[in-house]
Amino acid sequence: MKRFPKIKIKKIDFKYILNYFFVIVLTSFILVAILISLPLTERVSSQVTYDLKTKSELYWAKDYTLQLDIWDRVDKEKILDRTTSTLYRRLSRYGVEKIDMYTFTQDKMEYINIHVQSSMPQEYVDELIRSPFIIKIVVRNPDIDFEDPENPYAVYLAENYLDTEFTRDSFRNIYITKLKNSANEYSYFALFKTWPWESQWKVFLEDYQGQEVGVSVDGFVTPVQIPTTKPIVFALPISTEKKEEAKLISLLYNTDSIPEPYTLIDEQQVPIENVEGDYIKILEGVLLATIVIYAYLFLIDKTSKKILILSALSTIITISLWVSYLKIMSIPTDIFLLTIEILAMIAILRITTENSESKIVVNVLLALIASLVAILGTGFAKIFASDLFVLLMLGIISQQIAWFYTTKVRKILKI
Amino acid sequence: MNIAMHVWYNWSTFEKLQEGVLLLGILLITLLAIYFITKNRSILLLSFIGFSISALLNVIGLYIVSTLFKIEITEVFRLIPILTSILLVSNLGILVGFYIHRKGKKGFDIKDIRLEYFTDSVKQTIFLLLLSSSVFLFVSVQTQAILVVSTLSCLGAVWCVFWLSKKLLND
Repeated sequence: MKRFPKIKIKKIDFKYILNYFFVIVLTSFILVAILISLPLTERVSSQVTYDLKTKSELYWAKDYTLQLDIWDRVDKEKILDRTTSTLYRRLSRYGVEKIDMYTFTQDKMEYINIHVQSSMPQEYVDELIRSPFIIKIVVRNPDIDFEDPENPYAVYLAENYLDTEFTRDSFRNIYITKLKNSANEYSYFALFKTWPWESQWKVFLEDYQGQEVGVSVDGFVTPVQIPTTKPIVFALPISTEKKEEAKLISLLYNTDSIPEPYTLIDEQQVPIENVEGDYIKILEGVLLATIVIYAYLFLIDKTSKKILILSALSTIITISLWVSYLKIMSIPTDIFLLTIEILAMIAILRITTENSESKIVVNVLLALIASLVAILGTGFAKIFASDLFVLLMLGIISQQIAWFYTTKVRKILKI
Repeated sequence: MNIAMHVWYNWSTFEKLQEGVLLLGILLITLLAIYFITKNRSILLLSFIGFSISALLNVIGLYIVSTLFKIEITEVFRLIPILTSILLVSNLGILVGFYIHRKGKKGFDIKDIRLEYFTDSVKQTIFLLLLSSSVFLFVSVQTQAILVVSTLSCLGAVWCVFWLSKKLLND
């Protein structure tokens, strides 16, 4: 019987196949990121919507004029400074991008003019400016009949109460949180917290146990029943169910205090200051600039080709991933800020790729600066620094991907 | 002068304090980090001079932008010192990186570090000038001003640091 000849199978190099497969997957991943990040590629398919959402459509600008009746006060400069400082803190903490203020005197009245440009909801910014949010803890005036059916609003008017020594400045923090109410449902409450070593507030609460006191906000009083149970928790009900509004109220409670009441006498929409360019043009420009610069560096031959490829690939991956992320997550973006971020990252990646010995030092120093500005900065600087921090991390990952990718491709192509 | 007057009279104490703390914080955190990494007072001094020159050039740049080019200085221009610091720190990082990499090695010569720093500063200068100028046509006037002032302030500081390094950096 004739035997079949043995078929000799060459030993399969699984590592090589796996590498090959991995390089294909990585190439597709990079290409997809590039395609998504390029302008107008969302028009290729009607199935997906990933156009870059620019802030230019969201911006609005307004001028507000506040009037203060403090002309004859000796400390009017101090009052004005504290008022503008508090308003600036409130607005910048809320995320208003552009705030400009100045004060002036006219007809024995002091005025503060506030110019605001923002992409944040206008009604909330209005509220931050409109309400001085002057807080006082008040007790019932014994001469006033709060049960009088002729005057049902007596309980809400600050003039019917007597002031106590407690104002906003007496509290360390006013914490807004959800607690169970009398209907056994969760709603927002403001918890007034003092420093542990301060005993006056504790004594006050003990003195008024079981009685009704009030919290006056700009002359409108919310009555609060002091519980008889211990420990005494002073919880003021907040009239909102919305998280965003609770955040806003927390901001009003916790950003210093306005010393004297003011009146908003005028608010007017004004044209926005447009620093944005056409994002398609800008992204094309950045792309063109990157290609031209790398082609130039390639031609002058002052840097090794390997480093140039690595640096260019890291840059492309970082920027593509970042723009793709912004597009997919529909994050409203300032185009001019995106341009500056991209340019800064191109410069940083070029330096860190070429100088491997300085890579850690540069990244650490830049991450420190970015964190500091993200914490202490305001407006555009804060947004820029927060984005830069993420971009730095993305840059480090992209450099590793680029290094891994070029090494594998070289191995496969045996270059 | 107008800018300084505007800031002094129209900014609230909180705003002035916040901006001051932020800029001083950037300077302090960078200088402290550089000193802890290198333990070299000359590099610390060079870095401090670099930051001071860039701050001065920022102010001159803003003055030129507002008076010569009649561009209104607004909130977006607060990005200039931050962008300048980022570009400058990436340059100073090269010097620090070279220094700590070579410091303990045999045949350590500060002249080699200065030479490498020079080569990389030239490359960074060309790269930054090309990058800023190539996107110049595509961006708004304010963005152009931010890029030009930041780039030139950084490059001015970089070359002052290099020039001073001949005198300050010794074995």
